[in-house]
Amino acid sequence: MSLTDKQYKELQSIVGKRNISRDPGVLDGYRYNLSHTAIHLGPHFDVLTPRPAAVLLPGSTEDVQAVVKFCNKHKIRFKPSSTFWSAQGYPNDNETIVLDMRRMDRILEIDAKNMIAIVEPGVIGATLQAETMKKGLNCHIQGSGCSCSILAGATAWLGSGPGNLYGGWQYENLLGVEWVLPTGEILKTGSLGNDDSAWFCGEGPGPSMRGVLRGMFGTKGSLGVFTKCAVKLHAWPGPQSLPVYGKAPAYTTKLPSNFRAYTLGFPDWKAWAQTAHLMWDNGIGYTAHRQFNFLGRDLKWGMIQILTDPDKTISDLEELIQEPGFKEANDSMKIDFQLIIAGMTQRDFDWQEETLNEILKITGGYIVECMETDTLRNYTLLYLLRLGHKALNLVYGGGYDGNFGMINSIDFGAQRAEAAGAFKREWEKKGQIVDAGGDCMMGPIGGQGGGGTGLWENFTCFDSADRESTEGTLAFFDASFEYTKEEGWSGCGFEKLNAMARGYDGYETPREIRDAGHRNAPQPDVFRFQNKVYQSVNPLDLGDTYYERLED
Amino acid sequence: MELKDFTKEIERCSACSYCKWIPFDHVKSIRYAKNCPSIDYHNFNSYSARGRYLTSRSILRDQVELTEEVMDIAHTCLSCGACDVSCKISRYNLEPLEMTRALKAELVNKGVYPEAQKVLLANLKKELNIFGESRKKRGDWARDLKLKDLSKEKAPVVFHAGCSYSYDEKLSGTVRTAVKILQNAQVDFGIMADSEMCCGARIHSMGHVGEFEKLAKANIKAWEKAGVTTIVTACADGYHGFKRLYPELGANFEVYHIVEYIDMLLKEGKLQFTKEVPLTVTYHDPCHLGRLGEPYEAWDGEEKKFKNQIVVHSPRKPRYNGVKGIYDEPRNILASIPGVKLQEMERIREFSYCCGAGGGAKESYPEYSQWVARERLQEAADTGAEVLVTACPWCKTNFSGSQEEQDSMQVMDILDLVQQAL
Amino acid sequence: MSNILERLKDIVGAEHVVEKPQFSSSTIGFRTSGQDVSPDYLVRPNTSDQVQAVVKLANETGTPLIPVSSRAPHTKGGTRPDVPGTVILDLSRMNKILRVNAYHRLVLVEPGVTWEELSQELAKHGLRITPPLLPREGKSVIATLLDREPLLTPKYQWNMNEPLRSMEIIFGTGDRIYSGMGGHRGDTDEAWENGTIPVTNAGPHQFDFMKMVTATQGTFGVVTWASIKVELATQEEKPLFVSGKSVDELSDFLYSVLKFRFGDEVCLFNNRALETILVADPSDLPSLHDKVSQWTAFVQVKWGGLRPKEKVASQEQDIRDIAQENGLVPTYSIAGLPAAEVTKRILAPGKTDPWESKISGFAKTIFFLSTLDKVSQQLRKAAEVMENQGYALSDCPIYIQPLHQGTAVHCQIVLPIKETDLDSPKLKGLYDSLSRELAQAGAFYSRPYGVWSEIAFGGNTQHTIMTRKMKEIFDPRNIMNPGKLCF
Repeated sequence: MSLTDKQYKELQSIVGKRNISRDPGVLDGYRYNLSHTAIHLGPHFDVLTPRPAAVLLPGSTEDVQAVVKFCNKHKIRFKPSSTFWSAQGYPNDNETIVLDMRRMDRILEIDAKNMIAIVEPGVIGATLQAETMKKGLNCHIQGSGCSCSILAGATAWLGSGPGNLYGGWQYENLLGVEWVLPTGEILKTGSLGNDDSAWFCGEGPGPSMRGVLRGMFGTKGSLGVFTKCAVKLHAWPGPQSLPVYGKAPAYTTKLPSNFRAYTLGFPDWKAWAQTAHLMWDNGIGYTAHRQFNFLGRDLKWGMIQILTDPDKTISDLEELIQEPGFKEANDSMKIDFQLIIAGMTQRDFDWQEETLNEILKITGGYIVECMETDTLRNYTLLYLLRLGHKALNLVYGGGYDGNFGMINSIDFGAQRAEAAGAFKREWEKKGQIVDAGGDCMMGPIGGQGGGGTGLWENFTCFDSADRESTEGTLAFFDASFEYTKEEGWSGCGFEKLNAMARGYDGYETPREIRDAGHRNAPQPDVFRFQNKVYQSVNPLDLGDTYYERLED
Repeated sequence: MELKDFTKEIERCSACSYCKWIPFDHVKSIRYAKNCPSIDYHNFNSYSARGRYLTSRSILRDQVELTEEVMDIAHTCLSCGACDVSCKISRYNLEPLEMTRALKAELVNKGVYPEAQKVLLANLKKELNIFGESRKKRGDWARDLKLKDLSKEKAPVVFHAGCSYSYDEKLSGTVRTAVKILQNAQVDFGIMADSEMCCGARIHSMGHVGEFEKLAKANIKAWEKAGVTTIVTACADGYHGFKRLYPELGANFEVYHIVEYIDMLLKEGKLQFTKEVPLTVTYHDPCHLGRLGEPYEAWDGEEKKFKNQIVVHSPRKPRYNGVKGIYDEPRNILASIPGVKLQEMERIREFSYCCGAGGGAKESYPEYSQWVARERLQEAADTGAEVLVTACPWCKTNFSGSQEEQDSMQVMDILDLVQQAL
Repeated sequence: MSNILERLKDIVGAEHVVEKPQFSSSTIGFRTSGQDVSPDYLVRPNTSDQVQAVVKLANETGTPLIPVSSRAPHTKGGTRPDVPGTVILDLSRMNKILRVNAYHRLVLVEPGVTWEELSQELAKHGLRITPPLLPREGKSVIATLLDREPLLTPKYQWNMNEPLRSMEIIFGTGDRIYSGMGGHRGDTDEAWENGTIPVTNAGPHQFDFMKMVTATQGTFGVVTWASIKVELATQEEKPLFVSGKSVDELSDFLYSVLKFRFGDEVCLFNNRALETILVADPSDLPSLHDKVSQWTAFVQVKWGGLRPKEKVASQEQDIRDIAQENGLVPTYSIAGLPAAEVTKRILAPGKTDPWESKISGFAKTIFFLSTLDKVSQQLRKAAEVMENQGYALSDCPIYIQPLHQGTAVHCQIVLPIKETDLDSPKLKGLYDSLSRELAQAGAFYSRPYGVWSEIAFGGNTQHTIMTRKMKEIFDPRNIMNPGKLCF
């Protein structure tokens, strides 16, 4: 079903002729290639998500509301997205209108005293951080990096990142939200509902309707459109803008002496996990992430050298890993994570660093020597603070996705890391995925404010232009999913997290598969309730199966 | 490379949108974080490099008709290379700039390109310049300077003025400064005078590769005949053409932009600035002198895989990520002029924001081209500088021509400042 | 009715069902106005299965149900029946501390566990929990946290529901849901070894079930189990007091302390509030007059982790530096009382009666959320309203508690009253107009009791509609505490 000319004209009158298109050439720019990083489904070789019926660029909440009302009138589905990275932001069928939220990209206010920023969907982590730093504040940037929408991370997906332990994850930082409901009304949550200028509290009155728009995950674009939100910020005890040095891509920063980056290594996973706990118990750390391991346990030291040397390219990796001393250096950070300490004062920094040293003595951890040059520390600082290199996820062959997941206490992941790595190693031998050394797990040291949990993705890199590689990756994910079920590893299954939403052909997953999956979930009632919520909030079903539900 | 040669890249694009932003590490404000003028103006995803990968896919699979919209998607790309720089922060096996060029060429081969370009092609054919001005007047700007005419004489160095400098009277002072510097440095050089031909770089950036090759080969032949071993130019567009595109056709010349020459002369003590020029300036890095001003590196290798699926090249491919462009030389010059104070914009060096004149936009999409220029002018104004300095006649012309009446900022070529300081 | 009685007895046992329970009883003593409707029964389950069975019975029979965890007296009115036929679901028998784990700093508790019980148990494990101000005896920890009552330490409050984590919830439909990672029961040592523990609060999937039982006054369901994040027991501490004439004088200091997360307990009291807290007996009040500054910020550095002496010394100095930058001088005593004694009184476990009613025996409290920079203006408005009605704000204890790491504050104005004032039209009028005027001035009733419900839900149409939609899903028969909020 395409839009009729009359319907198209009606939409044109809402957003303006410049801001709508149904030219297939434009519409194909809103199709996602499931061959490469579909995010937790597939990958499916040579499959694109369906071509939408039209794409619109709304410029205001009024535009959005008018479009949603139009969709209600004509019973047309709509799907908003901000940066369109991952299949989550794309329609499940050909009849859906896409709302590209790019034009709504204002930072409406940064209230420095109360540490609140109010943003529109098009504001990304990099730009919000640049503006908040001018005021001595920082914003949490989700793990997908600073190219992604702050609002989307807070409302539509997960919002977990390296800065969780100090800055909180976006679930915690989300304050008032302006929400165009699927029916076209506007709901303002928390304190905002009573006062248009009061963004400071996301809870209440009474039960928080914020709980309708996100739980562990957000609505993934299936329950209306979020047009503004406020997020809590946190202190930035550094300069008003990040000084950057060096040549691309080896940019570094140099910050005052109350900042330092470390790569910590450990003799075993127990020491690793224990260090995390002691860090949390003692309030150590501004950002902590097992970051570079995504490049692969066997390759990371080589890749770090490439990334930090403007004269090197990925084609140098083969030679690098054969150099004398490579294995030793690489192995020294086999079980590792990166940490940034930022002291609110020099005293605070000194105490944290000295206490970190105490912790390392207790656990047997150590500062990894090969990462202890000024260049590498300053590269790590910039990398983790700005999170502007996240497209490195795809550096090897254009394809990546994360499996396992292990959303649990950090010890859960630590205890299973070797087994997960060994399982992957066996699959690496088959040749379809990058042979990176099995353990390619990356994740925050602290899944939420104050720590406590871990969330691990095991990076699987592949060549998204190669059918065999892509299909081999899918087979690996099928196998790892079964493996974690057989082992009874709850909290895993990242690789299939969105397989309930979209199937192998790019369209919505058939109902029988969804229902079976939800019935087998640890709490099927969760999906039954989500079904009731969906039906109540989105009675005309103008969303899609990314909002998961069980109707029985 | 043809568009079909990008089939694998199309599947390997990260879809991360890094191509729409300056390298994130360098973002200093929300106002000046974006890098791609075409999506900034048009907003649809298709108007970015990642979008063009998808458009290319659809074209190769005959899934779209070549509508005016599709033509616009391809031809509004300024070929400025900003997307390429940003993409390559995280990727080593994608060439988005090359892809957009191939996309344009693909459409050109199918006869799909803006009407305005037909005029340029006709002008080139007839008068060997894109303005359609008489080729007999090409050397007028230097007539009284009594320079060597390399259509008749020989010299190791040719100064290539370029179409803009040859015909735009407003720019004649600037180009004359360039040759005076060479004269004062006693360089043995000449010009092609009325025999000078367009370098072809602009038409190349519009996808007319065949026409470019004709011009390039003709230029190479003429220079070889004149015994030229070195090309000097004051036009960034030409610089990029000679430095990067001509060697692909077998050219083997040393290539300098005049700012490189001036910088060298300053360092050797052969040039001194004696007059004070008390101005606060900001410097616009022209795309074709900066990130696209990197030297050509011959490569005849192939793709291979390492560790099962890591896509690498053997031998390693040249990076072309903007790092080796010309950035320091103009800044050294500005620092050497007494009284000049430089206030940098946020988007500089390899992530400078395009002036809007490239890729055929100025000719085919003038309103868009001017919008881009005004974006950059605003950024310049926000530094508090009195003068926007650049090193490319196309940039200068587009900036000056896009200013609104109330804009008080002066737009100058760096040579104009140099002239004031001598 | 007798059928209900019999069935209730079948579920919980006859000895745990009380017919026609009295208001003066230990569980349901209400000290609020207008207690016209007596409950029919009070039941005391001691397992979540029993709770679920009661809720299912209530659904089947349309019986109103009010869950209560804390002991009496209840002063806010949230657990007072509004309709006849109500059954009080007294959870005080469910008072087990199921597990304490120091490594993960988590404790699993039932709803009947009180602050004092929990604090004592945690101390044995080298742990502690951040309490609210002077929690009264018999106050349920889960009930406090569910109600989003302000806690004394903003720096650990990464979200407004901290430290509440996973829960077991019996919704008004009778369905049982584990929110967060509550599906990991943590019943076995193996689970804790394994790391499959109830450590987080969100979800478990796209809907946030926890949010449907917070500040709801029991109108959506019953929480029968929860995991709570706790802190390390204090090894070293240092309290500081910074005084000033107004909130504004202290606000920049407080903003900096909060921004950098210095100090554990960070609170702001006016003179009346601090006097009330410090005196053992109302007759001692005159001895404190003019000795306590108009406003006092209480900032205590506490440390239970490594290198406590160094930590406390370092942070104390940082706080002193901030005070100095703002032209303020921290002191270590109040009204001649040394800091340790003052702190002891501020942080003491509460008595049977809430601290607010210490002076005159009863109190009517207004509390709301705001931001620190707006509080002064809101207090001026309150003073104006009170003056117009013959009252003085200067007589009222005021307690301001920063929340959510400084992004918001809880502001509480206590109207000291006598018991005879409780039902007086004059007080009702004052309360009503104060509440409304404060709302106009930006006060946000995130926990909407009584007239605040009207204010919070009345103007906020879409929110009210959505809240009712959720109620329709989770308690379609409106058996859970009907008449509260907007139901």
